[in-house]
Formats: sequence, structure tokens, C-alpha cells
Amino acid sequence: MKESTTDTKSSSEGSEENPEAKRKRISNDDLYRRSTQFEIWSYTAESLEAAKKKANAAGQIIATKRFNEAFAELKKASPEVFENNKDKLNPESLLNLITFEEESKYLNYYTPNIIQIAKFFKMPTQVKLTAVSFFKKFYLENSVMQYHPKNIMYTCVFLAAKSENYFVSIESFVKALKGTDAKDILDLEFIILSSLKFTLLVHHPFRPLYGFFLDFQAVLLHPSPLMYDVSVNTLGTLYDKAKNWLNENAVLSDVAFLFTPPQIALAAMYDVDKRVTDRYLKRKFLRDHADKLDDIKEEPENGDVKKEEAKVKIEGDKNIDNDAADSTATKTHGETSDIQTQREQYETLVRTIRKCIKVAKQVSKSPQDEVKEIDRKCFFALNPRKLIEKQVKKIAKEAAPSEVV
Amino acid sequence: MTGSSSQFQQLEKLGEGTYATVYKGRNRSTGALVALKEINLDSEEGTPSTAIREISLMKELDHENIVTLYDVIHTENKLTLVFEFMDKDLKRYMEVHGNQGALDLKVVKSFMFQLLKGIMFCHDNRVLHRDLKPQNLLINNKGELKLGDFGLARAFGIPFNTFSNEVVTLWYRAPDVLLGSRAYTTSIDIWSAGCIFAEMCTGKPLFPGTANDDQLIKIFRLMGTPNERTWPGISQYANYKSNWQIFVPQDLRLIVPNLDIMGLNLLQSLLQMRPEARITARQALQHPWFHEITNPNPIVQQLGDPYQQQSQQQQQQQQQQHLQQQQPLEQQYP
Repeated sequence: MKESTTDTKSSSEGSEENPEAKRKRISNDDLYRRSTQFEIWSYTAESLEAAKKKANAAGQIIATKRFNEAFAELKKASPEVFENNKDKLNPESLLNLITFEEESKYLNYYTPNIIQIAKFFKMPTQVKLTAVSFFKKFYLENSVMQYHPKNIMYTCVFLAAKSENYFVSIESFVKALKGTDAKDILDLEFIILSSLKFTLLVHHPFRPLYGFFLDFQAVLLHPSPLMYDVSVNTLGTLYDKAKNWLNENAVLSDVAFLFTPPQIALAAMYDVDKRVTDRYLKRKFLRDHADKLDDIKEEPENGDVKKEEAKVKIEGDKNIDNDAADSTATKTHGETSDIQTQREQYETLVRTIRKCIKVAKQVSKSPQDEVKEIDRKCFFALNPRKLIEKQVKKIAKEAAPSEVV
Repeated sequence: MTGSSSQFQQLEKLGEGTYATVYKGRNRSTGALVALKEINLDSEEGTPSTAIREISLMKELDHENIVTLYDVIHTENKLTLVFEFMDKDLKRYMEVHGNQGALDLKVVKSFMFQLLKGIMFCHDNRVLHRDLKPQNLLINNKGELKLGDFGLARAFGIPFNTFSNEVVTLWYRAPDVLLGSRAYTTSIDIWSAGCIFAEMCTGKPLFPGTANDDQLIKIFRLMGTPNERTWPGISQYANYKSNWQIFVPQDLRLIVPNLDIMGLNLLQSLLQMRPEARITARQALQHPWFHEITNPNPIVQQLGDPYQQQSQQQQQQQQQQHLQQQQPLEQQYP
């Protein structure tokens, strides 16, 4: 997959009259497109849901098996209790597994905690985002009925810190976490690493956001301001708000699985200030030939971003779309850009941005009482023996008074 | 893809890495050779962060001049990284195949080209190797050179961290790093490439310093002692001294007598004292010294024809123009 992506690129660029000039810059987007994040962790809305359902279903199978083993064992130990109370002691009535919807709610409840932990240790944004990414990816491969999210969450933070070169000793780390030992975390390290398929480098939208911030200035303010009320200061405010938006919305949502980092960055800016962002996009995509004179494409700072957002593409099968996106990118560099194509490109991009905004804002807070109930279920799914023993005790208690009387 | 350690038969020890021991191994089912990098986990911190970062980077760096990470295997108290097998490292290669260590210029050219391609790929991916030295460059019996041991490598992106200044092995360490710079970039790998270039030609390390100051003096002795005029801002470095012994720059020809003029020009461009003056890997790959590799039909053969000669000059001019047009890689990282 990765090979074909880069190969197509180089061959399409190689056909240009000056291939070396084209190849001399590697944009953020090029980087992203040959990353493991793009190769392994990109989904469509449907395939993402399917992955989550699959993880939940696999978890149910494991939990059921675990339950059956515990049930058989306990039944063997005291067969008469099980025989006499068949109505209350049978797998059908006892087994209460976590559904797909519940699992999603449960995980949504845990994700913000990662941010809290990272904040507590004063970890940089990068660590925080990478930890969330690890956590989300882990539960595309596993279910809470296999691994309880609490220690997974801690270990993700610990691993993200190592991966992002922000050292926290295990001793000081667990000291701050009640009821978790160093061993709990270290034992999970490899399980998480292998669930992540050892792909630990995560591309976040903050870097492209900064690139857009610079390009907004270049496009909207130079050589003279395009909008009467837009200045460096207003763009600075837009940038800050967009950063907050990413922290509040994008981080907790699934956008990173569905959209590219530059798309997410643009979504943040678009939602924060639609008027200015739209003006920028129109200027980039729908420019007529007359203002080619103040073309900014020679400036080094912009080359990066330009290509990046020109290549921003529709969500869907990212690999298939890639070729089309690449060819449109080449067109924007060329002299004879087709107005029609530009219009389509612009419209596609705006549609993508709108979808991204929608997904980013979809995350709802999971109600506390509901989460408590799921948490209880999770505990018993992981410890079925306790569930059955509890029921046996309950039966004994119910039976006891009657014997006395 | 998680394999088990029983999948591989452990053969002889190949060497000690920065944080691990490397063994030769054989895949029991296929018979294929691999390199097994064993990392002890009995440290109290679990998987060492060097291992985490090496895995992280190797997973992203898929290139013919970078050694491939096949698999990661976990056993009770160790983590094993399964790498593609390479016959020897460059240091050993020079000992075995060199004339008192010095390699044939054709081989040097091929290795330099591959080294620079590997470095360029790292830098394009915003990865600094930081520890390039002959022991970390691996050679297989097809004459392929690959960068290995990314234990000290790290990704550089926003936020722009300052790195610890104790990274590159002393002999290959750039002067700006020796002076205490903590904001260094891709240029540190380029300096190392220059040192390795000279070493391949002569068979002897270019600057075999014994300590930080000694390393600097060894560099100055050849490249000249820098001052504010030759290197504006040098006095701002933490390890700057105003009483350094003054050396004048030596002619590199005296040190690397067997290298042709074009090669010396490339060497000079790699071994620039000021980091920002150092050539980038991308520029270096387009250097005329590599023409016989980049140009399948060597222009030297066309010299008889005056018209051809003209076109050759044009070509070189274009080459030069092209070099000038290129922005240094560092500029794209704000």
C-alpha cells in the first residue's frame, strides 16, 4: 500500500518537465501519506464502526468463554446448589455482557481522563494527543471485556511519554495514581505495543494548523489585506481559538481515523471563523488568472501548506482517492488550471471539512449513572467467578431465613 | 505479526549496540538470516525509551538504505527486535576489504551515495539519526549500504525541542554540537557523513578526538580555528573560548590525497564548520561527483566533441543554478 502510494507519486511527478524541482520539497502531506498512520490506521466511517463492532464481538466471545469456565468450575465444586437453583443459576440469566453501544459510551467516558492525567504530569500537548491516539487504537483491536480501560489508559500515557521523549519515571508515575502498581503498567506495555502493531509515530493536526496560520497571513494580508477587518491580530485569535477547538473537540472524537491532519486543522479554522476561512479557501482554489501576478507559491513557507491542502481529499477509501488527489495537486502547480476542476476541488474540500466538524462534535458526555452500570458489568465480565459466587451467596441468604423459620 | 523467539535460532554475537546486544539469527522455518537485537527489560522502567523510539522510527522509515525492522518479539525479560541481516558494518568492511582500511574510490562513491540517500530519507521524514559512524552503517554482500541503530535517533518536529548535547559519538560529532549547541538540525548528520567520507578514502578516522576540547582542536587543526569573522555568532556558544590556539585552514588534499578534485569539493561542502553552510543531503546527491551514478552515460566519454562539451558545461551550470535555488531543508521547520 505504502509503496504504491509513493511510486504513483514519483512517477506522476517524474513526467513533469522539471521533476527534480517538484521533488525537492517534502510536504507534511507527503509525510503523512507514507506514514503508518495513513497506511494502517485510516478508516471510512463504515469500516471504523465495523472495527469497533468486531472488537466488541471478540470481547463478548472471550468473556463468555471465561464465564463458562468459571461456571463449570463452581458447579463442579457444589453441584447440588446449582442443581436446586437452576432458575437463578444459569448462564442465560447471569451472563450480562457489554454491548457495542455500551462499550463506546464507556470508552468515551475514559478518554477525557487521559487528558487529565497528562495535565497532572504537565506533559506537553504532543504526549497527551499521542496517549489518546494509543488508547483509541488499542480498543479498535481489543475490548474492555479483555482489558479494563483504567490501566490501559495509564499505560498509554506512560508509553506516549516515552515515545514522545518526555521522561517520567515509573515510580513517580504510579505514585500519583491510586491503586495501580508499577507492575500493572509494565505488564501491559508490550500488550499495548503489539496491539498498536508497533506503530508509535502519530501525526497530529497542530502542526498543519500552524502552517495554515502562516499561509492565511500570506494569502489574506499580502501584498495588501483582502478583508477590511482582518489583521495579524485577528488571525492570531483565529489560530488560538482553532487550537482550543482541536483540544476540546477533535482530540476526543474519531476524526483522526477518518480525516487527514490538514483536513482536521482546516475544519477547526472553518468552524471557528467560517467567513475568513472560506475566503482563504476561495482565494486558494478559485483565483482567476488575473491575480497570478501576486502568486505566493515561490515563498518557501507556503509551498508546504499549499500542496497539503490542495491534496486534501474526500473521505472514503483514502488509498484510492490518493491518485486523484495527487493529480489535482499537480494541476494547481501548473499554469493551466481548469476553473471547473478548481471549483470541484473547492466544493469537495468544504464538504469534507463540514463532515469533519460534524464528527468532531459528535462526542457526547456519557452519563455518570450509565457508566457506573457499564463499569459493574465490565468488572463481572472480567471476573465472572465473582459474579457467580455473588449469586450463590444471594441464594444462600434467601434460603437461610426460611430454614430458621 | 508478533512472532515468538523460538521462531529464530540464535547464532553468534554480532556486537553491542547503544543499548542492546545484537546476534545473528536464523528463521527456523525459512532458513533466512536475521539480526536479533536483544534488549533487556529487567530495568525498572520497563521497555527502555530508546527502544520505544527506535521501534517508532523504524516502523515509519521504509527505504532501501535503511535497515528494515521485521518484527518485535517479547519474552519474559527481554524484547527482541528482528532486523534484516547485513553481513558487516562499515568499520569491519574497511578492515577486511580496504587497503589498510582505505577503500577503492568506486566503492567509496557507491557507499557515499547510498549513505546520503538514507540520510535524505531520514531528514525528509523529519528524523535525525544523530549517531552516524562506520559501526552503524551496515553493508551486505550485494554492496548495499544501510543505516542502522536508530537508538539515539529522534523525530524532530514542532515543538522544537532542544536535545541533549551528549549524542553523536565524539569522532563524528559536528563542531556546533561540540561547542554546546542544543538547537541543531539535520546538519549534524551531514558533518558525520563528511567524516565517514574521508575515513573511507584514507582508512583512518578524520578527527579521532579523545575529549570534547581535544575533538574541537583536532577539527580546528584541519579546518582552521573559527572566529566571529568566519563564523558570526560563534562567541555565543557555551563552549566558546577566546584563547583557542589559532590554526589556519589546511588543504583537504593533503589529508585525503587520493580523492579527485570533484570529490574534495563534495567533502568540503559536507565539512563546513557553520551548520547553516553545510550542504543538505539532497543537494549532496546532486553533486557532480555522483554524475557517473546519477547519469548512466558518463559525460567524460563525450569530451572529444566541442558541441558536446558545451552541453556539458550547460549541464553543470544548470546543476549549479539548481543547487543555488534549493532552500536548505531546515527552513521548512518553523
